[in-house]
Amino acid sequence: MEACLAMYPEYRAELRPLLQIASLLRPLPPEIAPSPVFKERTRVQILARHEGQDGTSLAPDRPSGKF
Amino acid sequence: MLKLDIPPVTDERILVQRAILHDSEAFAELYDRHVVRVYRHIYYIINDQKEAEDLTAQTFLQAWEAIGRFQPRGAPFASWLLRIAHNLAVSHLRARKGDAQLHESLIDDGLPRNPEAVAERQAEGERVRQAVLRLGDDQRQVIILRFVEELDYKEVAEILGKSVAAVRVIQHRALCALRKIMKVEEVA
Repeated sequence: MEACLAMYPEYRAELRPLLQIASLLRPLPPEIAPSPVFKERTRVQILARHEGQDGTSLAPDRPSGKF
Repeated sequence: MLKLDIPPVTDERILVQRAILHDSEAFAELYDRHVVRVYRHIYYIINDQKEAEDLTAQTFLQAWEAIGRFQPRGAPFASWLLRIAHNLAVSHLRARKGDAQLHESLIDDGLPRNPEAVAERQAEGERVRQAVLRLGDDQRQVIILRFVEELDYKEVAEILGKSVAAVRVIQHRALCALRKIMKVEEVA
């Protein structure tokens, strides 16, 4: 953070609190990912939903008003 | 740093157009491209593997049902998906009261293992996560993609269909907003 602030001394006062906030935002570890079983199961579910195999069908014109 | 492939824009547009015409193979291809990003986005909000998987499945099933209403000339498909994911995750969080779980990623910060310092970092990390959830769509998406997914400006701009300059401005405003939210909470 100090190295970054040194690059922009004229903005030091403004930048410091923003960099402090940014430093609290932690990246998610790369191993956090959906399981292969889940991925395959959901893929099958999506295709089945289209074909009505799970007893439901797509209703593209149904208004939900949500999105 | 995790790098997720960003699909070529042209291919993605064709897939989306085919999906709108109810081509399930095209939608399944879109699913393959975006499932990890959507899952990680939800996981950041929910912090539970099983629930994040359930909500990821719901996100895609809901998107599949609503694909006919997707506007290809509006926000990119990924941005639309992330908005659906966020709405589902936040509704879920509201239903799951007393959410006090902390991220493992907040613990593994490479800092000394002084229990008090760790606890303080955890609390700060949780506060900022709660503040991120209160940002508007654009700001929240930029913050999560930049700092949680560690993507660069160009990658974020492509995903959100914005210019790099616009992403920089949104990020600056988002950090200011986070600071303000956290200050208000301190006073309260």
